[in-house]
Amino acid sequence: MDLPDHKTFCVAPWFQIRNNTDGSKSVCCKAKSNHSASANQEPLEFLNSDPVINLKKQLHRGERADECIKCWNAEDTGRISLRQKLNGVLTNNSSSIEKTWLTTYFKHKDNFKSEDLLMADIKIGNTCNYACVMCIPDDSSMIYNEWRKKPNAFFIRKKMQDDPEYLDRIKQNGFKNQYYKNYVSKVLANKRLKYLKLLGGEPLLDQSLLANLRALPEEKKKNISLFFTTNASNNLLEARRYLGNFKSIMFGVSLEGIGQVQEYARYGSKWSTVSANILQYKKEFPADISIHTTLQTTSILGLKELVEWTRKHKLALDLGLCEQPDYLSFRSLPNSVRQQVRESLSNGQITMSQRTLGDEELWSVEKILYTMENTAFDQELHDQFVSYIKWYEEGKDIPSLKNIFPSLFIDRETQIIYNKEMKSTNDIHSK
Amino acid sequence: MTYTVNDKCIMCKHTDCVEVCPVDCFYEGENMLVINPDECIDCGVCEPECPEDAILPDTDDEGAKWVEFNGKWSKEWAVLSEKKDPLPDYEKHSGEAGRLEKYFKDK
Repeated sequence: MDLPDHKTFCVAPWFQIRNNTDGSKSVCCKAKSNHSASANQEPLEFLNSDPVINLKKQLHRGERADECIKCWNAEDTGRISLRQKLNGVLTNNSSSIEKTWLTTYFKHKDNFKSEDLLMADIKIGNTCNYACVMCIPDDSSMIYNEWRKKPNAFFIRKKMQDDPEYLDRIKQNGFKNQYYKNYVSKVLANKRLKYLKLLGGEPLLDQSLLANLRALPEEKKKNISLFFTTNASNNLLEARRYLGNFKSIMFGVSLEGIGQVQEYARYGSKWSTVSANILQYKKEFPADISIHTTLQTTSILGLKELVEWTRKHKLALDLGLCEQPDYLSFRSLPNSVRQQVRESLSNGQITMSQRTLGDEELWSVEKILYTMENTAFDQELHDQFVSYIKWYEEGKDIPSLKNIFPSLFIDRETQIIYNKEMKSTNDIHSK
Repeated sequence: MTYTVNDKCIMCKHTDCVEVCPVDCFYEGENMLVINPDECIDCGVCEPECPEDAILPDTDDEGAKWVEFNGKWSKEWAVLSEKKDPLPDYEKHSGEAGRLEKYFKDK
């Protein structure tokens, strides 16, 4: 077999699997999930199924497969795609495939069959102790709770009309779900596992998962790199010590901002606890922690402080954009706020010319600004945003977003920015 | 933060909450359940399951009143990990006020 095409080759369909909440599987979290598979399908059985073999062939011969469009879009706009990141993980970041073990692998193959599962994204159900503003019941039991308690919101009614059994299915997605337990066992049984990404929910809440990882044979642990997508509500240093001697243990902390912005957007979080857990771990293992932020309407005005904080503590920052729900995307962001964001970042001298932490993060800030300024404002989505925020804040012991960032709210008729004297959404619409 | 069970559970004990709890932190007395606050991971999945609305977070004033009670009795009683039938007269007691004073049993 010839060596693969550098511009389209991806290790994912050869060596990686990702399970989804509904029991289906895909080769990564970005691929369109048209590779649905039964919940009981073995990982290698999935990688050798006809749809995945066809995908391998396409990518191998230099074709941009439709289902990988998110990676092509990322690369076409100058971002680093998941394809490139995964290739880097599996080839020890070698820029040349010829210099990696992959060469040997392909030289001795005459088909497109996978022989080893090397990487797995394991989604451990939806059990989570946060109810984040942009989250859905698939990914958070706390949001599931809110949907059950406050079912009359527009987005819940729509979802339940489209899929009446949705919440009943989600209810079964906790740590006790036998599917997850069996799936984890199947993945861990693969002899040449190199990389495990664990996400939920909040994976560090799953004591059974942690115990299973801790109990792996020492020889096996030495070859496995763990990556946890975590909300840092638990002590990361203690978790690492408990897990033992893996090849590496990385924590990717999902953070929306610092202080009040974080506590608002990630309901249930306490900034003092989260920041202490991050910095304590950073002190001991400086290269093994990174911050991941998906910018959306409630957090964009806190971006400057977040960037400054991560720089102060020399933490890598990976910025992304919220696309769903669309009423939290930049499309719901008033034009006046966009200028405010640009000015705040410029005043903080966060510009292309300052490159203190690495090009990727700074470039991302610029890209965020560019995207924000080139995304048209949508009044309908803004109205949905206002309605959603009212639902989100109901019954919670948090300050209103209107008091934190009044400029996020504008009146449909007058286009006047909300001011703190207005008491409620109804007041705005009655003006 | 933790979730707590209050006296609306007494004489009903539906145990729908037990079925969904991911960490088995419910403890069973003769006629009610409690949550061990040290074991609860604040996932919130139990709260909407209770037909009597007997489960609340301690961020709620009513829920906060029951933290000590839940902590105390969870140390005395046995863990319950699987759903079971509710108490026989649960329909009769549904919605009844003052159940702690009327019916609570420390076993």
